[in-house]
Parts: sequence; C-alpha cells; structure tokens
Amino acid sequence: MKRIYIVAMLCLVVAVSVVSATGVNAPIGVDTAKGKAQDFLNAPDATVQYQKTERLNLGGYYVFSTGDGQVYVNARTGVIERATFDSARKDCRDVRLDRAAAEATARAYAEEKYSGFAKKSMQLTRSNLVSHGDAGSEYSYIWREEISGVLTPNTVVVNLNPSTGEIVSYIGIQREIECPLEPKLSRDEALKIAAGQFPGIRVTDATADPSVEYTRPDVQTLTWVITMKGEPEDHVLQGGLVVIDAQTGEVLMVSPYL
Amino acid sequence: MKPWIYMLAALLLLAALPAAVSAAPPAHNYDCSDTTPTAYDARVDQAAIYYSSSSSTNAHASTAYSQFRSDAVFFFNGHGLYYDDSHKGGGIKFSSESWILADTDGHYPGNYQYYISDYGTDIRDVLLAVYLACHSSHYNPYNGDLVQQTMNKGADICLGFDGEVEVENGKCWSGSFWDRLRNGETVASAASNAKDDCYLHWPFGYHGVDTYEISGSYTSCLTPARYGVY
Repeated sequence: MKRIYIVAMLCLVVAVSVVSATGVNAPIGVDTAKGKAQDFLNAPDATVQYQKTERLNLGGYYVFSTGDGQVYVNARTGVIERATFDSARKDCRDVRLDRAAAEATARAYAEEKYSGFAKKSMQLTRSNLVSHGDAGSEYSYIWREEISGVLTPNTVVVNLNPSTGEIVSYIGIQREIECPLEPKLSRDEALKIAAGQFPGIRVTDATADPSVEYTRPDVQTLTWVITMKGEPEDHVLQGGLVVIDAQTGEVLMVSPYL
Repeated sequence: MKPWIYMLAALLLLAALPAAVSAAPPAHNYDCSDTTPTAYDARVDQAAIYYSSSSSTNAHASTAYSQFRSDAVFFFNGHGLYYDDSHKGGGIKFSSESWILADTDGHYPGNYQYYISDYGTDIRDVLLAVYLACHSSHYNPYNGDLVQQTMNKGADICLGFDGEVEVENGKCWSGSFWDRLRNGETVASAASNAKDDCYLHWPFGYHGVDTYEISGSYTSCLTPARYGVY
C-alpha cells in the first residue's frame, strides 16, 4: 500500500512538472494579448482588432490593428514590443523641437514603456533627424544594451514627429542573454574575413560591432556585424554588410550595397 | 427568348473580356542585382489589387525606359550611381552597363544612357515609381535628381533612398512595402512600417532603409488600381 502511495506521488510530481514546463513556453491567448494592447495604449475601450500572427526569428507576435496603426504583442510574454501611430505622422514637415527636447521626449517614452530601461546599460547608438522628403521628417533614437562591449538584442527605438513631439513608432525588445559574450574571433580577424567577401575591394571605411543576433528562430548567436565600404567600380559603390559567427568564423550573411 | 439572342449576348461578353483585362493599369517590376525575387513578389502583390503586373530580372534599361511610358507603377531594385569622386545619385543601373538617369551635364556612366529629362509628357500617367537603389533620391550635380525629375515629368508619387541600402535589407523592405500597399496602407505608412519591419530582422538595425524619401501625394493608396492623375 505504501509503495502505491509513493508511486502515485511521483506520478503527480512528474505530471505537474510537465504541465508547468509546457506552460512557460505556451503562447498567451489572443484575447489576453488584446487586453495587453489596450493597456499599452492606456485606452481600455480602444478598438483593437486582431490582424494576424507573425513569426520572426526573435519570437512570435500577435498583430493588432488599432485604427491608428498597429500593436505587436509578444505571443509568449504579452509584452508590447512594437507600436505605430499613423496620426502622429501628420504635420511633420516643420522641425519645431530641438534635438535636446526631442531626445528627452524619446527617453521619457522609453522609460515609460520599456520595463527596466533605466537599470539596463542602454547605450544611445543613434540619434538622427531623418528626412522623408514630402512625407516630412522624424527624429529617430535607437538604444542598444551593451554588456562587456557586446550589443545585446535588448533594444529600444523611438521615432517621433519633430514638430509635435508625438510618437510615430516604438520598438522595444527584451530578451534574456543565452549565448556566450566573449568572441573567439578578434575584430581584425573578422574584418579580414569580411574583406574576403568582396574580392578586389579597396576599403575606404569599415565598422565592426560584436552583437547578439537571432540568426535562426529562437537561437541567439554572438556575431560580428560589419559594414565595409570600398571605392566604386563601374559607377557602383563596393562593399556592404557582412555578419560573421564570432565563435566559429563562419560567414552568416553577405549583403552587398545596391 | 430566342437562342440566337443568348449566343449574341455571349459573344458580346467574350469580346468585352479582353478589353476589360487589358484596361488594368500596367505595373513593371525589375530586379537587377541579385535582388530576386523582389520584383516577382511585388508583381504578385500588385496583381492582387488588380494591376496588370509583370516582373523581370536583369532587363536592359532600354526596355524599362520604353515600358515606363505605359506604366501606372514602376519598381526597380538594383544598383544606384556612384562616381569615383564620390558624387552619387541620379541614376539606376540595368544590365549590360545600361542606365536610366535623371539628366546629364556631360557625364555618361556605362555604355547606354536613357534620360528621364528626355520624356515629354510620356510618364504623366505614372501613379507610383519606386527606385530601390543606393542614393536614388540624392541630387547629383552630374546627373540630377532621379526622384524630382520623375515628378517633374508628371508622376504622382516617387520614392527613392538618400543613403546606402544593401541587398538583404532592400529585399526585406520591398517585401513588406508591397505587402502593406496590397493591404491598403498609404505609401507613407507602408514605407515607414516596412522600415520598422526590417529593424527586427537580423542583424538589428535599419541599415539604410530608413533613408527613404517620398515626393508627391504620399498619403495615397494603390487601391483602387488606377493610373496617375494628369
């Protein structure tokens, strides 16, 4: 009798473990995601309509139409990782905000929407005023988390209207780091491999950043992301983008300039 | 009713069918530098919203220049112009060193050159021209501004890129841009959202697709299928 109890208890423990392990990776429901989207918009009554489910290397998303843009909800965590606001693009031809005011607005939005923004080592990797011709301009701010000199997938992008300061689009990715952050391949070795992808290139400029990328679905890889520019040939700019596995030296992507 | 009336009606319907099909506004799409299958994918999206679309790989500039005259939509994905002295923009490169250029001040890249400035009113029916190439919206003192020259000749909307774009991010942007247009987004919204789509593909970043510039009626959609206003 005692043995039966023990076996039963063991079965129960195994069953509970399996169920909870499955639950960790189970997607949330569309209705739950919809509620998260409404919370993000601070509008519980907002018309949020499910559009599609999208699968990227860095995860799956429920995509909702809001009538004024889209909201991307991480299908596992329920975190809003992307939002666009079409109406904020109106009247964006005049630049009324100076850079300091624009950056302060972008930073405040990042701190509000991205959990732990202030605690992470987020580096402002880009701050630009980008012109889109007749379609106006936008201030664009990009932060990437940096650990031991390596850029992680944790990133925040805030694009805003330079006239009104309204947020045009937001991206906020937050992931645990699951790969080693010490590259076996040095920067110089990576640059040499990259140059080899463009035979005969006469390099005029090159950058190499160690970066954790999702090169396959749900798989993080420590890479060197290299942009290499060379003198033109036959009136075409030479070089492009090269991504190299920083542990093995394998070339993962070669993307020449158009 | 007599059978001959049915037959007459059927014959009239059959006769009207080709006219209805050929009335669909044409769209031509060109892949010219390992950029396949963006032209084909654009073609599929355009066909879904009732453009009479076609795609080709490594076409000669003379073909594209000629077909442009009848186009409602024109899409090019390939190399832009870059001189040894760093002057850039004003042209797009087709096969056999053939180029479509905005204009010239006496500089002639490649073997064959065709100029937007030489069009009279030929491209005034164009609704949308998209030049997915490095510096395609950048003013070049030698060869002018491709986007502005296209607008000067009567296109409703023209989109180019001021900065450098590379093949993979160009493919990503193109796929998303045409898909979004197919789903009813405006040109401005599709271009902007497509750039954010690309940010999330590896490697992280915009890598030049955020440098798009649009001239003309950027709040227009491609639906319903139509020619540009002239």
